[in-house]
Amino acid sequence: MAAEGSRVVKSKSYYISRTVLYTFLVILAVITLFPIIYVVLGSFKENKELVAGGINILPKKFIIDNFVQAWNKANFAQYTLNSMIISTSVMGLMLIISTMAGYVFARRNFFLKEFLYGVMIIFMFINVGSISLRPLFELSVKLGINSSLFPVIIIAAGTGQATYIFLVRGYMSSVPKELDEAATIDGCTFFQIYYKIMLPVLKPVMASIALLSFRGAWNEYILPLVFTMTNEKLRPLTVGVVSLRNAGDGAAAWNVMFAGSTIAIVPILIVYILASKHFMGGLTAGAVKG
Amino acid sequence: MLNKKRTKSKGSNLVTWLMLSPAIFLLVVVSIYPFLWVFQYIMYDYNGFSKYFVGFDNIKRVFSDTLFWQSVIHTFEYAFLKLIFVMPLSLVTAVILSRKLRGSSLFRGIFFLPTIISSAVYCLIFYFIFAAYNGVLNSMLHTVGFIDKPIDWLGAPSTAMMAVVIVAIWGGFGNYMILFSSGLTSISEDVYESSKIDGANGVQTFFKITLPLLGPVLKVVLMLAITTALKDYQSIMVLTGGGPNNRTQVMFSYIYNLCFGNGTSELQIGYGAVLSVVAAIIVGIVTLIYLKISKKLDDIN
Amino acid sequence: MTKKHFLKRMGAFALVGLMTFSLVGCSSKDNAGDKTGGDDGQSSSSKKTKVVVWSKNSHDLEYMTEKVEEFNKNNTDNIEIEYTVQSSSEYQNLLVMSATSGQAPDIFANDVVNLNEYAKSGIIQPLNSFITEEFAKVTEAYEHKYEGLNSIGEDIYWVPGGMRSGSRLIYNVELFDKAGVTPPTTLAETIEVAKKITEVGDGVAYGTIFPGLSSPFERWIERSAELSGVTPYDYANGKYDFTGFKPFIEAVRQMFEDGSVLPGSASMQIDPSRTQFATGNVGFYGNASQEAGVLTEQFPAECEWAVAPLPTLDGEIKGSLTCSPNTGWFMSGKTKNAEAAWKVIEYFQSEEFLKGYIEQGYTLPISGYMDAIVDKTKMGRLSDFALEEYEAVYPVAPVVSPAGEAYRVALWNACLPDGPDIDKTIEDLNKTYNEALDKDISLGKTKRLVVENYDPLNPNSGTVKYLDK
Repeated sequence: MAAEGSRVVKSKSYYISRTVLYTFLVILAVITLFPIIYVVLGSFKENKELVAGGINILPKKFIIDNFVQAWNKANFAQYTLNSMIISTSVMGLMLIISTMAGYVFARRNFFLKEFLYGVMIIFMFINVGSISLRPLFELSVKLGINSSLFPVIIIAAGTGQATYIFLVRGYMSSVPKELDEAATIDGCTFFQIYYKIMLPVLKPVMASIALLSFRGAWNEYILPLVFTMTNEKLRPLTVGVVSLRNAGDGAAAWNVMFAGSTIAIVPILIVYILASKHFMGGLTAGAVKG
Repeated sequence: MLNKKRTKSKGSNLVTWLMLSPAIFLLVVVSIYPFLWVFQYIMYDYNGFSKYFVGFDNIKRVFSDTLFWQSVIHTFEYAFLKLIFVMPLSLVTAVILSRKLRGSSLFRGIFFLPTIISSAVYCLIFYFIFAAYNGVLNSMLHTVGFIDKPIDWLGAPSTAMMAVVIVAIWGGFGNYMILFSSGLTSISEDVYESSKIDGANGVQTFFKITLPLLGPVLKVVLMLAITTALKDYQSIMVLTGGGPNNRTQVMFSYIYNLCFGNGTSELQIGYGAVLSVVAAIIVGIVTLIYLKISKKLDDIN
Repeated sequence: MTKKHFLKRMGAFALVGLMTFSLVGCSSKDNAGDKTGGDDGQSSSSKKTKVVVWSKNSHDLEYMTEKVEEFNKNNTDNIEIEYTVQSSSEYQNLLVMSATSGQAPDIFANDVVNLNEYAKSGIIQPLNSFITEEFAKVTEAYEHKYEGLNSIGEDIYWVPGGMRSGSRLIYNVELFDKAGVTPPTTLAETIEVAKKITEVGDGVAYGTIFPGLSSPFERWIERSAELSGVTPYDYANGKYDFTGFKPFIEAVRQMFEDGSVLPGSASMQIDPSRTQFATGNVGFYGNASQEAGVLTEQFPAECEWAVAPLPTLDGEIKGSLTCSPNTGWFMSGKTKNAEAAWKVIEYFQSEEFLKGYIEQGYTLPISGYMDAIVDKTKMGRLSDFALEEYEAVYPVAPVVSPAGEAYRVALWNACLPDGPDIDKTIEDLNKTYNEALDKDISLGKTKRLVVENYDPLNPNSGTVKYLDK
C-alpha cells in the first residue's frame, strides 16, 4: 500500500515538473523561431508595408515578385553561388588541414612542438581584430589574387583553424595509441596511419568541423565585405543582403532585402535539417573534449 | 642498422612538417603577418593614401581618448551581460534536454537554428523587430498592455545595450547549449542512477553531480565564450552602428571605424593600429586572469 | 640538427606547403576567375572597348540603365559601358581600395571626397584636356569650378551636370491645418509648432522626425545654422569654431524632451523616416531636393505636402544655404581607355542626356544653358525645390583628422535627450579640430584656408588664401 501511495505522489510531481519543463522549452522555442518566421513571411510583403511596420506578421498579400527581383536584379543567384564556393572550400580546407595538424600534434614529438601549438592557441585569443584585414588586403593585391574569392577563403580558414586543430588534438587523445602501434607493425607509415586509420576514427569530430566551418564561412560578413567591395560579382549573400540597406540618394528596397535574407537563410536551413542528425551526433561526440 | 633507423626517423620528421605546413602557412599569413604589420604604422598618421610621421602622438592619444576607454567599458559590460544570461540559460536547457524528454531532439534542433544564420542577417531582422515606431515588439507589448508608449529599444541609451545583448543571447545560446550537451553525454548514466536512488531531486542532482562533473567542459566553454564576447562587433555594427551617443560602441567597432571609416571623417589607420594592439593586450590579460582563476579553483577542489 | 640544416629544411617545407596549398585552392580560384573574366577592360573576342562606370545613386537607376543600353547599342566608337551601382556608405572606401588594387572603374560618379589626396595618389585625373567647346557650352564647365570640391587651381576633376538644392522644410499640410499653424521661421517657433502638432497628433502623429542613423545633423540642423550665418569653419579667421551651433542643438534637444519627435528617431535610417512622413505620421522634416522623387515615386506620400524655407535662429537669413553640385563624373587616373572613358562622360553630360535626366526630376539644372532648355513642367515636385538666390556652394574647409569624434556625430549626440553636455561637446570640438588643423598643416597634409572680406551671404566673393601656417 505504502509503495503504491508513494508512486502516485511521485507521478503527480512528475507531471508538474514535466509541465514546467515543457512550458519553458516551448516559450524558448517560440522566441527562437519568431524572428525567422517573421523574416520569411516578411519577404512576401510590399516594401511600404514592411517599412511601416506594425503587428501584422502575415503579409496583406503574398508577393512573389520580391524574390524574382532579389534573384535577378539584385544578383542573388550569383551571391548564393559565391557563398557556396566560399563555404565548401573553407570546409574542405579545414577538414584536411585540421585533421593532419591535430593528428601530428597528438602523436608526434618534434622540435618546437609545444611552442608552435602555443602560438596557435595564443592567436586564437589574441588578435588585432578588424585592422588585420587591411594588410591582408594589401598583400592579396600584391599577389594579384584580390579579384578572386581566394583570399576570402584563406583568411576565413586561417582564423578558424586553431579551434579545429584544438578539437582534433583533444579527440585524438581519446583514441588509444595501440591502434597506431598495431598499424605500424602491419607496416603502415605515419601518413598511411593518418589516412587509413585515423580519418575513419575521426569521423564524428570531422562532422562537427565540417558543419562548424561551413557555417562560419557562410556567415562571414565583414571579411567578404572588405574583400569584395571593389567587385560586386564576388559578394556572398551576407554582404549582398546588408548592402541592400544602403541605396544612396533614393530609398532602400526593404522587400528585396527581406527576400534576400530569406534566400540567405533557407539553403543553409535545408542543409541543416537534412544533416541535423549527423551534425548533432558529431558535435556531441567531438565538441569539447580534452 | 643504426643508420637505417636514423634515415627513417628523418623521413618521418619530414612528413611531420609536411603535414603541418598548411596549418603553419595559414598561421603565418593570416595571424602573425597582420600582427607584425600593425606595428609599422604605430608612429604614423596614415589615411589610406599617404603616411605622415607623428612620433609618439598616437600613443599619447590613447591615454586621453575617453571615447576609447568608454568603449572598453562597454565591451566588458556587453560581455558580462551576455555571459550572465547566456551561460545559465544554455546550461539549464542542455541539462533539461539531456533528460530524454519526448521531442528533445526537435527542441535541440530549434534552439540551434539561430547559430546557422549569419549575424549580419539576423541583426537586420532584429533591427526591424526592435523598431520603435510600429515595430513588432512594441506593437505586441502595447497590445498586451505592458507599455503605453513605444520604447525606442535601439535608440535610447537606457535600452540600447540591453537590446544588443538580447540579440547576442538569441544568436549565441544554441551554440553553448550544444557544447554543454556534448559535455553532458560524457557523464555516465550510472552517476544519475545512483543519485536517484539516494533520493536526490532534479535540482539537487544538478548542483551536486552535474555541475561538478561538467567542470572541465564548463571551463573551456566559458573561456571561449568570454573571448568571443570581447571580440564581438559584427552584430553591433549592423544593429546600432555603436550608437546612440556611442552607448553601444565596443573596442573593435571603434577601431573598425578608424580603419575603414564610417563615412564621417578621415581614416586614422595609424591610431587604429595602436588601439588594436591595446585591445589585443586587454583581451590577452582577461584570458590570462581567467586561466589563473580557474587554475586556482582547480587547486582548491 | 644544426641550425643551417633546420633553416634549409624549413624553407623547403614552406615551399612545399605553398605548393600543396595552391593546388588545394585552385579549383575555387578558377571558379571565381570565370566570373570576373570580363574585368580586363578590353575583351579581345568582341573587340569592344569596355568602360566600367560606378555610381552610388540608385534613385536614377531606371533612367541610367535605359540610357546605358541605348548607348551600348548605338554608339559608333565600339564602346561598351558596364554600369554598376555601389553601396553609398562604402563608396569612398571602395574608390580608394579599387584604385590601390588596380580594379578601379574608368569613370565614377562624383562624391565629396578629399580631392587633394585623390589627385595626389592618382585616383583621379584632370579633365581639362578633354573638355570640348560643345561640352563647355552645355555644362558651363569653366564657370562651375569649386576649389577643393571639383577642382584644384586650374585643374577640373569633374564637371557638375546638375545641382541638388539645399535643404528645405518639408511639411504635412493637413497636420499643419489641423493644428492651426504655419511653417516655422525661427527656432522658437519650430519648437512650438512641433509641440502643437504632437498634441493634435493623438499619439499617432508627431511634430518632427530625424533619421538618427543616416546623417541627421547635416540634412537639416547644420543647414539651418548655415542660413543663420553659423558654419563649422570660420572662413574669415581660418579656424574651426562650433560655438554658434549651441542654440540649434538646444532647440533639437528641447523637441526631444517635449516628446515632439517621432519615437525611434535616434535609431532610424532615412527610409523608415521617409515612410513615416509619407504615411502622414510626421508634421515636418528637413531635407534636400532628392525628396521630391522619393515622396512621389519610392514612397508616394498619402498626405498633402509642401515645401518651405528652413527655419533660422531668429527668422532672418544671414548666411548662404549649401547646395550641392552633382551629376558629375570623375575619370580614374588609372584608366587605360581615357579616350573611350571621356566619350562616356561626354554622353552622360550631353544636352540630350541631361535634358531627360533633369526632366525626370533627378536633379536641378546647374548651367544657364540647360536651365533654358528643360521643360520645367515635366519636373514634377522637383520644381518646389527650385534654387533660391540665397543658395551657394561654400569653399571647402580644410580636411583634418581630429583626435576625437567627427563634428557631425558629436553635435548630433549632443542633440539627444540623454546626450553629452552641449557646452563641453562644443569646447572639445573646438579644441580637437583646431589642434588637428595646426598639426595637419605642420605635417603638410593640408593648408589653412582664409577668406579675406568674407561675406556669409556671398561665401565665394572674398579673396581666398591658402596658408602654410
